[in-house]
Amino acid sequence: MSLTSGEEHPSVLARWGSAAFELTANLFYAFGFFWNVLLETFHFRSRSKVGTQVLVMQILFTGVNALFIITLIAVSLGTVIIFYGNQIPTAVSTNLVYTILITVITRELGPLLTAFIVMARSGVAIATELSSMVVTHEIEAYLAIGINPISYLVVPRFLGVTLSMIALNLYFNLSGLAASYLVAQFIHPIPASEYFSQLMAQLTPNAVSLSVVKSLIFGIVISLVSSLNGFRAQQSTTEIPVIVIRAVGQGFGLLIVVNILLTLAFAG
Amino acid sequence: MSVSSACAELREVTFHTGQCLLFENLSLSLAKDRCTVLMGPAGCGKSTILKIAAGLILPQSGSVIFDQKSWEARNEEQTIAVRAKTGFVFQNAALWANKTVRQNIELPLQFHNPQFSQAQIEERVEEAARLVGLRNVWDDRPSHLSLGEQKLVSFARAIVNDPETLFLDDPTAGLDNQLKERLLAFIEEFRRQGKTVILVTQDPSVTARVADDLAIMRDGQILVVGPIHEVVQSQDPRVVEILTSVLSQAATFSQDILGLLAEGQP
Repeated sequence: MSLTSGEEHPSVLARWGSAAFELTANLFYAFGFFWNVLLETFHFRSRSKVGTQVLVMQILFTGVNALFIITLIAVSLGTVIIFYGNQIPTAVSTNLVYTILITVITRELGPLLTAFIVMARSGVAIATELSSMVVTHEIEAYLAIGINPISYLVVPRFLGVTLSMIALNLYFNLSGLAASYLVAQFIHPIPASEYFSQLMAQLTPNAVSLSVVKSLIFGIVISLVSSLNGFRAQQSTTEIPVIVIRAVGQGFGLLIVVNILLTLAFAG
Repeated sequence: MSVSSACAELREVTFHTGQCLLFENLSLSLAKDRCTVLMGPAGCGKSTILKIAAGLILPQSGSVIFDQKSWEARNEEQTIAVRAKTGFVFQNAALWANKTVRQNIELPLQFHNPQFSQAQIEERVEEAARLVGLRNVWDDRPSHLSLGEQKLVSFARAIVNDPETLFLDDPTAGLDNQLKERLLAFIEEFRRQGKTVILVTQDPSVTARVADDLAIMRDGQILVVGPIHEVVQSQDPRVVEILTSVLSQAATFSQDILGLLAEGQP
C-alpha cells in the first residue's frame, strides 16, 4: 500500500520547503537525542546495571588501542616544529619556538588531530556497529528484555569516547612536547631545565583550558554524531557504508567548525 | 473479548514505514492465558503486529494496551517490570553478535536479577538451554551457529527469566523435526501452566498443535480472529483462500487442510 498515488513532480519551492522541513526535523531529533543521552548519563551508575563492561571496552578501544598512532603523530609534529623552528634564526633566541610549540600542540593541532584519529577509529566503529545492530534487530532485542539502548549502548560509548579523548589529548601533548625536547638535543642542545621552564612559561592557564575544553567537546561531538547516525539505519546492510560515510563527513565538519569557534572564544 | 481477558489489545492502530502503509485503524484483541496464532501471506504485517503488541515499535496512531495498560503510559521502571515477565523470539533470532551464546542468554537474567550469584545465573541459563535442546555451544559467537541453533539460543534467551507471556515470531523456522518437536512440547507445557503465547507462523503443523485462537491476516487487515475450531470453519472465501494458500506451501500434507488445522483441538 502506498500513501501517495501517481507520479508527481514537486516544484522547486516545494522541494526547498521539504528540505528545510527535513533539516529542521533532523536538528530537533539531534537535540532530543543529545538531551536523552545527557539524562541517561546522569543515571548511568544507578540504571545501567550491565553497561559498565561496555564502558570499559570503549575506553580500551578508543583510548588504549589508539596510543600507538597518537604517539606517532605527536612525535612527528614535535619533531617538525623543532626542526623548522631552529631554521628561523631568531626563533630560539626570542622564544618563538616555544610559543609555536604550545600554540600548535596544546592549543590547536593536538586536540584537533587527536579528534580526527578518534573519529576515524572509534566514530567509524560506533556508527558501523550501531547501524548493523539496527539492521539485524539487535536493538529491538535489547528493548524486548527491557534494556534502554541509549542507556546501555550510547551512554558507555559517550562516556568512553569523551574520557578517552581528554586523556589522549593530554597524552598527545606530553608526547609531542617530550619528543620536541629530544629532537632539540640533536639540533640545538639545551638543558632540560631551561627547555621546560621556557615551555612552561608559554603554557598559560588559557592554553590549558582551551585544550581541555576542546578535547571534552570534541569527544561529545564524535560520540553523538556517530551514535546518532548509527541509529538512522533502517532495514538494509547496504545502508551501513552510506551511514558511516555520512557520520565521518558530519563529524569532521563539525570538529573543524567547533575548533574555530572555540579558538575564537578563547582568543579574547 | 473484554479488556480484562485480553493480554494485548491493539485499538485502531495505524502503522506505516515511509510511503508504505502497512495497516490502518486495525484493532485486535489477543487473549490472556491462551495461545494465539497469527497466520497470513508473507509480508502482510504479522511480525509488525507482534512487535507492536509487544511494545517494541510504536504505531503512528491508535493505542496498544498490554496487561491492562498502554505501553506509552508506562514509565521506564514500569516497562522494565513488564519486560521481566515477557519473552520475545525474533524471526531472525536477533542474537547479539558481539556476545557469546552464554552471554546472550545471561544478559536478561543479569539485568533483571542483579542479586543473582554467578552460580544461580549459570544454573538458570543451563536449565533454559536444556529445555530448548541447545547443545554445548556456550563460548561460540552467534555467527558460528546455524539458523536453527540461533533460534534455539533466542528461545532460551526468551524463557530464561521464566516469563508469563511469550511472543514468538516464526520460532520453528530452520529447525529439524526433532528440535521442532521439542519446542512445540515446550510451548504446550508453557500454555498448560496458564501462560500466554502469541505466535506468528506459516507452519500449519505448528498452528494445529498449539493454537487456541487463530487470527488470519491479509493486506494489513485482520480477516477473522477467534477460537481455532471456529476460524477454520469460516465460510469467508478470503479466509479459505489464505488457509489453502498457507497450507499449500507445506507440500507434504495430504490430509484435508481444515481438518489438519482442527485436529489439535478437543
